[in-house]
Amino acid sequence: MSERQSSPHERLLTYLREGDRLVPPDTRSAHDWDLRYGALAAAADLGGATEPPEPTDLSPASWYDDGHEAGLGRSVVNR
Amino acid sequence: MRQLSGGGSDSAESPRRLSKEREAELMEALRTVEPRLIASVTRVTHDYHLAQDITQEVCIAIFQEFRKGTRFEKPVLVFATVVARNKLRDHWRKSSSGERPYDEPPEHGRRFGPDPAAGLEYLELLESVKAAIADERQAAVWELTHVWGLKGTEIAELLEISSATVSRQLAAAEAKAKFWREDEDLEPA
Repeated sequence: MSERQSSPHERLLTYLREGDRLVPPDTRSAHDWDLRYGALAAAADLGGATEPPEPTDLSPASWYDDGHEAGLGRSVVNR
Repeated sequence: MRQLSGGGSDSAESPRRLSKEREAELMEALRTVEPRLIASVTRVTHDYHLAQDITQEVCIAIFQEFRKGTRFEKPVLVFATVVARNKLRDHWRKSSSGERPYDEPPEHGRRFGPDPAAGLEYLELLESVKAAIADERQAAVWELTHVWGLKGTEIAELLEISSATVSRQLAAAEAKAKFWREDEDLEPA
């Protein structure tokens, strides 16, 4: 498909689908998951001991503030 | 403004032990969040290993919130999505400024992403979608649906609107993003 002839919607979906192909199927068993949970718990112990979690803003305003002014270029969306 | 309600004490000493019920809740949350987040972040970055790193950090953040006694007012996946997006932005910001994105020992020497331009390509494509939509709420609904894979009810919780509004906003956003004319996509002179 010619990129020049496709819409922004289709171009980004095409890009995302290429990424989807890089995700291997999740074949983990219950045991694997228990091990994974244990590893995450240990990592959380370590992380919690060294750095406090940063506060997370779940407000809609925070989502709309997409970070472009903070160094990722200027957002084009009308405010 | 922080939108989590701390159910535990705010002392520096966080409770380490969770009740069986809370631990089951946490395990269920992680079991749901982890695969969805790895898929979403890989989709965005085209880098499965980076997606694993970011997802692990998000899972740790969830752990820490549970241990603090936080009661999530919005679905845990919504919290996880916001944290993941913040971490991804932070990663790109650090990458573009030449910092090592993660505290990974330099001897590992792994570059984040087989294609370092993938993040930039994604951001440019997303900006072109947003330019076509030209409405921040509709653009947010589009992104949350197509990039982050959130369901209508989850998006409604995050953006604090009704599910019906999410559906309407998505339809409007898609209509604009799909029928954007090529000549409108050109940079202004």
